[in-house]
Amino acid sequence: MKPLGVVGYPASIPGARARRPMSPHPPVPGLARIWSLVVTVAAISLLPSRAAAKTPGATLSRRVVSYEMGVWLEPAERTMTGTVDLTWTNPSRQPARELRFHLYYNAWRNADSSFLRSVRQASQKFPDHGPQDWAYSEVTSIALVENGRESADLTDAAEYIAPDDGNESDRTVLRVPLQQTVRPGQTIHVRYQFRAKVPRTFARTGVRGEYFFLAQWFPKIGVLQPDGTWNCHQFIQTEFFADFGNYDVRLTVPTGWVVGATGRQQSVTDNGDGSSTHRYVQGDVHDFTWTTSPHFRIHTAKFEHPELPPVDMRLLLMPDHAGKADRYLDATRATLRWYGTWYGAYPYGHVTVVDPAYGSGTGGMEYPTLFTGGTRWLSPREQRSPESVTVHEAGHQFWYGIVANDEFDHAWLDEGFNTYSTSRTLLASYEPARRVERYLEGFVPVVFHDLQRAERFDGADRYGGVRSDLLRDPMQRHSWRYGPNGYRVNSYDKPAMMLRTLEGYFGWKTFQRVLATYFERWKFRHPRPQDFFAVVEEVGGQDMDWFFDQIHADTVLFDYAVDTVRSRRVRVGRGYQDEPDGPIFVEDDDDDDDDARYASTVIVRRWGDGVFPIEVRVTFEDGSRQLEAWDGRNRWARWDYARAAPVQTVEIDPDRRLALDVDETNDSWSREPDTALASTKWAAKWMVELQHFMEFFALFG
Amino acid sequence: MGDVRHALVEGLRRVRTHWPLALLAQAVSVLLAIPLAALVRQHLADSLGSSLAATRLRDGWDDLWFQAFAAKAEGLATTFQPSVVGVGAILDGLDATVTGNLWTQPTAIAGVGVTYALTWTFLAAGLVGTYVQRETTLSFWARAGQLFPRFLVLAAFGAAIYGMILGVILPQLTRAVDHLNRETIDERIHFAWVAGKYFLVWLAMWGTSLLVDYSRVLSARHPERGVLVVITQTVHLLSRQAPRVFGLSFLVLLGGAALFGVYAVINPGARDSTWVAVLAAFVLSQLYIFGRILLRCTAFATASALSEHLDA
Repeated sequence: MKPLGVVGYPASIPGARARRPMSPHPPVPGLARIWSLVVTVAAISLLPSRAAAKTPGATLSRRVVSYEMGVWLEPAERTMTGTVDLTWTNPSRQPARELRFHLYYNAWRNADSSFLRSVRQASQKFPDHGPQDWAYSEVTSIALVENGRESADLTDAAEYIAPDDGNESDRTVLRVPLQQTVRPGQTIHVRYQFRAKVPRTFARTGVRGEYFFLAQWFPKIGVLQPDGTWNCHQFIQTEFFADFGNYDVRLTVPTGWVVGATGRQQSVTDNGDGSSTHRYVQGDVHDFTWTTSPHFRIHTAKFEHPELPPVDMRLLLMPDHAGKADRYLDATRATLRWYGTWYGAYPYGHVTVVDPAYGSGTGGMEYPTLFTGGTRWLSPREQRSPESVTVHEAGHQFWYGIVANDEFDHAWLDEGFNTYSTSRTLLASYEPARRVERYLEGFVPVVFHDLQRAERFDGADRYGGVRSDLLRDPMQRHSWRYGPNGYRVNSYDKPAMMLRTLEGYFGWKTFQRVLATYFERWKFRHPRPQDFFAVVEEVGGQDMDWFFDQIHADTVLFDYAVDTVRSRRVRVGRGYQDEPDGPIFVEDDDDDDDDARYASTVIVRRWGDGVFPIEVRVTFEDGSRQLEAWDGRNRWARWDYARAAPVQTVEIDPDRRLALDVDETNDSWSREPDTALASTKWAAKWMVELQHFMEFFALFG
Repeated sequence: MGDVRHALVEGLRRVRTHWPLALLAQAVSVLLAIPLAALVRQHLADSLGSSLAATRLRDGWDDLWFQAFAAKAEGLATTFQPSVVGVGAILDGLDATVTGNLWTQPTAIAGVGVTYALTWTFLAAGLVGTYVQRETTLSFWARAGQLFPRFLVLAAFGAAIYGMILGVILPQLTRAVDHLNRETIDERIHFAWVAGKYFLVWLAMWGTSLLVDYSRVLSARHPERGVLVVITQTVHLLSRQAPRVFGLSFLVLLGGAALFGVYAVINPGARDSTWVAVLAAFVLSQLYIFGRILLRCTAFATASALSEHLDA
């Protein structure tokens, strides 16, 4: 593995030239820059104590890390330089002999990184980037600090490693051997300097125009697990995982640029050289993200609810979305209300909502106390943009931010939970979504009011190739190992449908207690799937291995179907005949319909390998109904009836509890189906569209 | 303006006099579409079976059923999209036309489209031959037969220019606009560039269609003149009388916009849930298509009237 500073990147920083101060007429350009850095570093060095004493409020988590950072952003160069003072406590049961850091920006250093290799493998569009568009991240020096002084230089020993795929060209993980071991529970202080080139927005971080969104931007320490192994994966196709801690960050940007970041803004200092330093502090979070642009418009509002703590909401809105402020804030309120009511209160007291710049690709992403939404200039309410993405990303404050699962290994524990919760919140807060088509290269929306969209947790996405994707990887496989298309299905859709199914199985009241208990027990901790399963069984009061073994550990498909329905008129003798409400007297079996009797048979089948108890509702022509309970185990089930009326309809799972059933169409049967009318109606509309296409062809004739 | 008003009034009179001729085009349209629609109907019926999804589809829409249908669809069934409802049936084709993607439609769609376009060229020959004021004892079909070869050549001429505009110039403009907006973070700016791009493209397309239409008119009025002569004379006409020619065409286009607006309001969308309602919706949509064909006829007839008036 290559140590720092050796072949692999240019001797000079790409695009580097003499630094320019940010103001057009600086008094002394070079000295001003140096002075600001000195001030920043000195301020950090002179800080007397670590995070817990400075952040307001009691400690909510086990703070393994404490970052104090000073960062200088050069927008014209698209570079950052920074100094980090990291305090780290060994959280494991083993002594630590090294540290490992994520350097995410190196994923876009060159085309040989593991990230870009996987992009090419998945046949995704490879971004056509020029020289200014690539990125890098380098730790230029790193040292151990004791008693405020650097006691050991660790720079030379540091090296890049590729623990997941052995790709020697990948530099997203930096290993720093320590000269002395760190005992379990021991705290060390490390200081390092870094520089980074911000990429043209890629994977939701980077720059476009005068809009910077900086996620995964600093060298971040990985997670040392209880058994002493490092959870510090290369950046390939998954999301992120880090320990809780404290962040005290000073961000220096051009004066007049608006900044949004994790945490609360503590101060803004004009440095007098065309730059300003914004200080943000936040405790009990596991990441720090920030954004800056001179184009943001700030909107503030407060979430208030009689049973939940208030939350200050700060929205950074781009000018072309000026009319969407209320929609963003209302969606955030809905999330804080419903997630808080169902699961647990949002604890931080503030949240920043970022409206991402057009074309930046940074929308729809979550970070502690900050998230990005996303919308279009023309976006009708029926399309639920920005509502849908706002609820989802605000929801991640709960599932990911507070209940902080390992997104590398078990992404479904936040994405699936949140997809489920998002659907629930949207249903509770908004009218159903309608189909919206966008024309003229997607700029002009048209709402189809008659076409209601299905909710995602009802399986709205299950048929987009999901049926085959479901078979490719079980959910329990580590997320970063999912094959092509496996991540979306197994992290979002399938777990959301799984939770919806559990809701149907237990009933909402019990299932809400399951989720609330899980949230309360695992907030500010790192749960694993078994932790959730245990809560389900505890609160649900029954063993659920049969359920999770199929859905989490396996790739079985659920498909129950109505197979055969027969009703025939039968001749009966004069006298008493059985009816559900008791015997009735039949005078004579003639052609009088009043005395008609029908022998009916209903057969349902289990086509899939998945087993789930279901109900079957049989409705007869006279309006009477029979609800059958089936444990769903055998490959088929049969019921026979002797009634005064034939079977009119059969519905499997009429309450749609089994959201995982992959084919809903075969779940019902009708004696007088409307197939002829429905197919004619829609074929006629299709025909009209074809005729219009012909008229457009005739324009060229 | 007087010339334009005269041409419009006279053109409408000619269309009104010979309005049944437009039914020929409609008949061809229906005959070409019915077999494919029957296939689509069968695909839908097979998917629905005896399911209650059919009831939901009858009364409105079933999104979950459509997800299943679309995932398994093959061939012609893949062309079935929920946007066939209401104005979507027009907007899908309009969008494809404007953005130069009409020719990338699935084979079945493009196939009937081209067939209809060729048939329309033949019928257009008969229509224009009828609208122009020329002494003749020829029937509609005879006039169509007489003028069709020339109209075909003019159609090919027009297609070559359209192909250059949509196949070469439009992609170049698109690349240029995308490059200019590489760092744009305000969607309105990018949209303005895109709208400007299509404005320029369709200005050129409009000019080309007028060149072809007036060449047809001139061919019908003077069948003894060669195609090149006719085209050259039409270019001279357009350059001398551009305001009148474009102004008259613009009025016809306005009529089309008004027709679309009315249809957008009165079409039943997906709410037709009985046989009578489905039939009524179908008839209404056919009336709209007939209206489009009549507009096309109006374009020919008014162009004929204006051409004669300007020569007079």
